[in-house]
Amino acid sequence: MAIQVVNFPFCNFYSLERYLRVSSHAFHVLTGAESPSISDIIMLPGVGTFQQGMDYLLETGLAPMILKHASAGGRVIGICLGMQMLLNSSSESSGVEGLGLIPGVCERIPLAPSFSVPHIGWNSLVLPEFLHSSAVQHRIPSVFSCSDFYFVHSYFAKPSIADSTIASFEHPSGHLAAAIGLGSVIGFQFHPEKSGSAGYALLNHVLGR
Amino acid sequence: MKKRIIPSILLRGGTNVSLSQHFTPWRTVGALAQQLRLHVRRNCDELLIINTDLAGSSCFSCSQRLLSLVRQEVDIPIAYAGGISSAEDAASCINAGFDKVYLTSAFIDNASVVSAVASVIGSQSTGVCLPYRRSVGSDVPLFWDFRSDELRQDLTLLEVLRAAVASGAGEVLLYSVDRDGSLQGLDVSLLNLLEKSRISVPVLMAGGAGASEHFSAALMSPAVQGVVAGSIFALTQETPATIRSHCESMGIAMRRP
Repeated sequence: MAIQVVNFPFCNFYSLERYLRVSSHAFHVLTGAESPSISDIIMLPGVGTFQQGMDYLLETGLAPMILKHASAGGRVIGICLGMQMLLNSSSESSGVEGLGLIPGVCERIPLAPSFSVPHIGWNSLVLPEFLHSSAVQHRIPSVFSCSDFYFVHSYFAKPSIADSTIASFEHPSGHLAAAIGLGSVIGFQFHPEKSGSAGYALLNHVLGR
Repeated sequence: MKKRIIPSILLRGGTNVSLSQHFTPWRTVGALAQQLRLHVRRNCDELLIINTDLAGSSCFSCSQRLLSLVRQEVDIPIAYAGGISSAEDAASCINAGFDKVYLTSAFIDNASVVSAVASVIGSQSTGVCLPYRRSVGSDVPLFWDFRSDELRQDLTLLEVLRAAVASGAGEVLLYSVDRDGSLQGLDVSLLNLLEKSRISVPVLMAGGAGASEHFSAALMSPAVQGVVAGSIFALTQETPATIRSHCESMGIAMRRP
């Protein structure tokens, strides 16, 4: 098993790199040149707009590579914009097609008097009591609802399969997705690689399974 | 959303860390590597590096030493301020490992720089830092230009705050120059104004935090999302943990590390 990281321009690659280094995970930068092996884990970070992200994945030829990897059962971990691109589309960049690995869309966080957008800062995870679908391989252990995680975003995921939402954050309009998963694919809206020791523990858990 | 405790690290002469008084470096307290380690180990919520060597200048460059320390030591969000005057500067900062930049002089000279920066790195990574003072005998906070040591009578804090948000800033830091380094308490007289003006982006306060009670007095307000402080962490026994537990006892939602 090797970890293959997509190195976006305009992306805070270094915080993920620090996590991997401190946690002694060997990793490579995923280029379009060489296909990952099925046992590899692709990590898809990303900061910027949905369009910038998808343009990069298409120009570099990484989009078909990631799709092929995931459809063969390979593992993919998206973080922030990397999570949003797992879905079909985003109202941030209308007309731009996402990877579609998890059915659903991204929408702007609804305005509410008591909730600032962008949603910047530390927030708690609300974990579902149980998930029905056996298609969802990933679970976030309940211990992670005792720590807060760092969020920076203006758009949020709306997966069309309810069980794809594996963690949420509280918003005046209800619970919005903080992490999504389907099959071998998982995505975090928040930044575990910037959430101090709790975030590192969560990534260790996800990579270790 | 949890309220934030944000230590500021003032750089002067490369990677020497200094305390500030009235927005001016005055006393060196250590080296960057040691300060980053200390704050990260103590579980602060975010960090802010203010590079005074470049403040007000328009030729931004980050030393490799600074960048490699940030990459080595920091596992939480970290922001940079000092000499950012274009979208290119901001993008190079974000690509180098920072999560957010703050603009001051460039914004005052030309507010459209903020929208240019935000269009490249996103408004969530684009902050504006507004140092302000009051003239003697006046209640009205005014923007203070540190380059010329000039109180701008034509720019009230509220006006520049609104202009910063209108230009696309995703966060605004209000920095009381009169209180900076005093440890005498944050400018809570601002809270009423902030609550009435309903700013749509997160607002942080800096200048004067010297005790846990000063943090809770500001963070109690729904209009303030975080407090930036420097001297308290060098000159008192308070730590993010002691401040956090005091704020929690006052019913304020703080981060659980």
